Amino acid sequence: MADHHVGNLVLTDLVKRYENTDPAARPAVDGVSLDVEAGEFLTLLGPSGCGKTTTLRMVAGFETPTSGTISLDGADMLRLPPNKRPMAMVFQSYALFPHLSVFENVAYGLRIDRVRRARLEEAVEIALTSMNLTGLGERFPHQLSGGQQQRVALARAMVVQPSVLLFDEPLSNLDAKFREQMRREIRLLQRRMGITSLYVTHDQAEAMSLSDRIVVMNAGRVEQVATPAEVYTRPASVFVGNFVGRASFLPVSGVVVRGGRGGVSVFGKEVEVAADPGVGSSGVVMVRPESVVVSPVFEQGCGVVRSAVYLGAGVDYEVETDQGTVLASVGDPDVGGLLEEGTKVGLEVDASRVYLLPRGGGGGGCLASCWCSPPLAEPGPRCAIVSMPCPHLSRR
Amino acid sequence: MSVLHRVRSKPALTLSLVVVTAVLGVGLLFPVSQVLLTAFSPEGLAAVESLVGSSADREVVGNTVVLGLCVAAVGTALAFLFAFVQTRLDVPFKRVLHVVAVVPVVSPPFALATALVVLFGRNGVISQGVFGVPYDIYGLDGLTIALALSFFPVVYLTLVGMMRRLDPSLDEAATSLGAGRAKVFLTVTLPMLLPGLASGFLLLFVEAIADLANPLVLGGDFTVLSSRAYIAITGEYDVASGAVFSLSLMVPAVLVFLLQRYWIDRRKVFSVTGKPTGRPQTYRGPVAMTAYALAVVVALLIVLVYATIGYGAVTAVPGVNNTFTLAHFDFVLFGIGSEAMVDTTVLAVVAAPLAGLLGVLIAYLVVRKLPRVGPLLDFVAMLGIAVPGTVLGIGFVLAFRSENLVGGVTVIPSLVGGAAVLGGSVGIVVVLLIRGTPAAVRAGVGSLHQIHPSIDEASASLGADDSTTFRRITLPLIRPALLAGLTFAIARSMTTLSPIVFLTTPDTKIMAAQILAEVDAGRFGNAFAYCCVLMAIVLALIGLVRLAVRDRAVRPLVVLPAAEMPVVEPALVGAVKE
Ligand SMILES: Nc1ncnc2c1ncn2[C@@H]1O[C@H](COP(=O)(O)OP(=O)(O)O)[C@@H](O)[C@H]1O
Ligand SMILES: [Mg+2]
Repeated sequence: MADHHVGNLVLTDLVKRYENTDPAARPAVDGVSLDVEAGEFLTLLGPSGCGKTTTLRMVAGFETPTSGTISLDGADMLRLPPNKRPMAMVFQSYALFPHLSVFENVAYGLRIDRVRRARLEEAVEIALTSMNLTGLGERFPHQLSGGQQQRVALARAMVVQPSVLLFDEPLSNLDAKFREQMRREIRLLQRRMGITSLYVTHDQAEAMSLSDRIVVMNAGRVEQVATPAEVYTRPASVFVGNFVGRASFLPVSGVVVRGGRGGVSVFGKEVEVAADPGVGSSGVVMVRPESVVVSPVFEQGCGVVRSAVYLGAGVDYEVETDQGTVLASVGDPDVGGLLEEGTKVGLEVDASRVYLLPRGGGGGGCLASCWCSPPLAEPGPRCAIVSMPCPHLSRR
Repeated sequence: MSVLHRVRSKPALTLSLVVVTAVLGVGLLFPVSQVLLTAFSPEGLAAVESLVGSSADREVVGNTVVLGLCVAAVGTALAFLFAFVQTRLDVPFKRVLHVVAVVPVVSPPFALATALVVLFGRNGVISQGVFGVPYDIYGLDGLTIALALSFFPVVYLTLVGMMRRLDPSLDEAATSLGAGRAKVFLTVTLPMLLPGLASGFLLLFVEAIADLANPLVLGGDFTVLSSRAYIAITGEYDVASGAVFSLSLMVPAVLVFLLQRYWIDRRKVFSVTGKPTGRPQTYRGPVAMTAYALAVVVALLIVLVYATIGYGAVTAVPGVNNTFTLAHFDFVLFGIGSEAMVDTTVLAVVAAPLAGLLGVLIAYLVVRKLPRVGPLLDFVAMLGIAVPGTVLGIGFVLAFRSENLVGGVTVIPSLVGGAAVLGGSVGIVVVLLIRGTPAAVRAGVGSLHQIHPSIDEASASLGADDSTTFRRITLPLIRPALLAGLTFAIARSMTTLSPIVFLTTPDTKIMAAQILAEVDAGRFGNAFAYCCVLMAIVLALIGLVRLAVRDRAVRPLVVLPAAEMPVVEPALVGAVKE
């Protein structure tokens, strides 16, 4: 069944409005359209409550869409009950059958398909081996660690060779170390078997490391569908840039965008940066902290260090500038040379790493505050232009 | 989606809905509606008039209410006393006290009452024999003792459960804030138990006023509504009056049921700290010792009563001619009486598994499949026990004495009376089914709520349809509930009297009804032998069920595979990103 040419999953204008909810409010899923290519690993990423699980459950058949269509290789899925859809789901809670042994859990789907005994045993053994569960077949779920339980859940879903695998935050119950290992294993296995996968998570690192493409969702809508690199470097909106990784957003105006590039002023320097086609005369410049260079010398733009957090592998500085608060991440710091709070510093940015976005979505104002909560809590003052003598500017 | 489409896409669901609706409709709603119709017919209204007009009948109503209140008060107090001793005192023989307190659950309805008559009646072994006082236990006092002892165990078990679940750290918190033991008890423990005590009180009230067996044996001149209805039907052949009397029982019963469901159940206090940590502090001192002494006295009384039953079963005429004899057992086991033993057992063995399965099926539909009509279905199923047995029995007489025809075609043949199919056994099985289902529904709903819905979804996602999922996943997982429901249904089917007494025919004899006849005729020895045999059969059946449905693998009780992680807010995620 695992034909590598099947598994093209298409969602069109999917809307889900839960019964018993305010009809005036936005639906839980509000017009989602996706085209998951055969064999692709696609991740739905977004904050909790944005409709990821609902979308996934509609695909699985556990929820009925209010409107829209779901098709798999051209066949209408909405006509089929969940058990007739050639998909298998891996649950956040694992949902192992507590009264069945590991072997019987994995064999469950094959027994439903009435697979012959010899073939069934072989398939289960292969699945257990591939998930490093050899020798655990006789155990019961409660005799396994969380990680082992999750492997059983994976083996159970993969062994039926579905056309589409559905994952709902399968790693969120594991501890951080183990999560990374499982990520790699899931990715390897999925690549090897070439099964189309739709994966839901709110963890951007998970989405980045697993996916061929990421769908960033917000309030029931799709904000962007792109590769992890694109989502990170060229987010479609402030929301996306904000949710995926950390960034400072500096409002700019009087911009002229031509041919996908725009001239803007960043830290007192005129630079030409890549721009979203939707940017008008004013926009927002996204600066990732790792592309900011902080130096005690005032050759370029300037600001005042408001906080310095030593992280071992690097230092995070919060620098207040004329354009707002900027987060800068300096790698491999020299412990003796940490800049103290209140120090005046120069800032520089690699223009090729800066991206110009339309202003909408962030609500203007204190855009730079996305990555740390205190500025959000006290609006206004932090965003005020810092008026301080700037030697560099006055020299010019 | 059209109805037809739904039916076609979910045949198993549709079929089970049809079955459940049919059983509840035919076995419960139809007969009860017949009682209502009769009560509001001209004859019924005349009976209402005479009920209101006659001072004797008004007294019957008064008696019923007084009896209900007395039993509820005494029974709740007993239940609380035993639960307190069990969970909060550090005293010897607690295990024995527990077993003694639970024994009345499996005993037939007459056992206690008859034994009390033998011990404390006009010629009582104790009252006359030991103290030489001509004490007369018939009436309110005897009824209160018999009913309270019969029904308090269920309330006791609930309270023990509640008190065990109370988090001891709450007591400790109050103590550390300076409250003394008594103060802690009054301000922390008692308020948390109030819902349990209140619902226990209501339950006992309803059970007491609905009971038929004890008033028939112990009532004497103290007539209550249930016995009045019984006399109206069986003695005066006045079905309309019977309907009216029994219906006036149903009003408080259903009111209490509603109150319980929609008020008390919503007010249950849960300690939200999760797993109880530590052990509750135990009480000492004179108050604790008084409680213990009281509990021991009551336990001794219960032991005495059951000893009397055993003794009476092998004694020629208990209290009068105390020679040893096996004649009573011979009568019950091998004589004419054995017919009732076999019939009762066969009917229970047929009805109880059906009740267990039906209850679990209803629970499954209610919890998993029917989010909207589920509560209504649950409600109707629970009416099976909320409706007094007298009402159900009279309803069956009204509804099924003659065959039911629709357009000249027999839809339901006669189930009650001389012409009933299979000697009325079908009707009896249906009644037992209706009476046994509610406990299984409750047990099933409780355990289904513990199983995460994703378990069902995982099964569906692996290709299993609803009926396969139910058979291979749900049913094994709720096996403990099924077992509990089955056990309860067996006990109830074997010992129930009030609806069945209206349905027995010469062809189908029921032990409970036979015991009544023997007691009426003054042949206490036979009655006691019946009681012993009945209890033995109940215990044997329950043991068999446990053997057959024994768990193969050791499994934790909690069926949630893993704790659902709280979803981390994106704002926080941003703050802690690697
Ligand atoms: N069964 C339900 N009934 C009503 N509203 C629901 C239900 N399930 C989810 N929702 C709502 O729909 C929205 C999307 O939920 P969900 O898909 O679970 O989000 P996510 O998985 O992205 O966290 C949320 O606002 C949630 O409160
Ligand atoms: Mg979710």
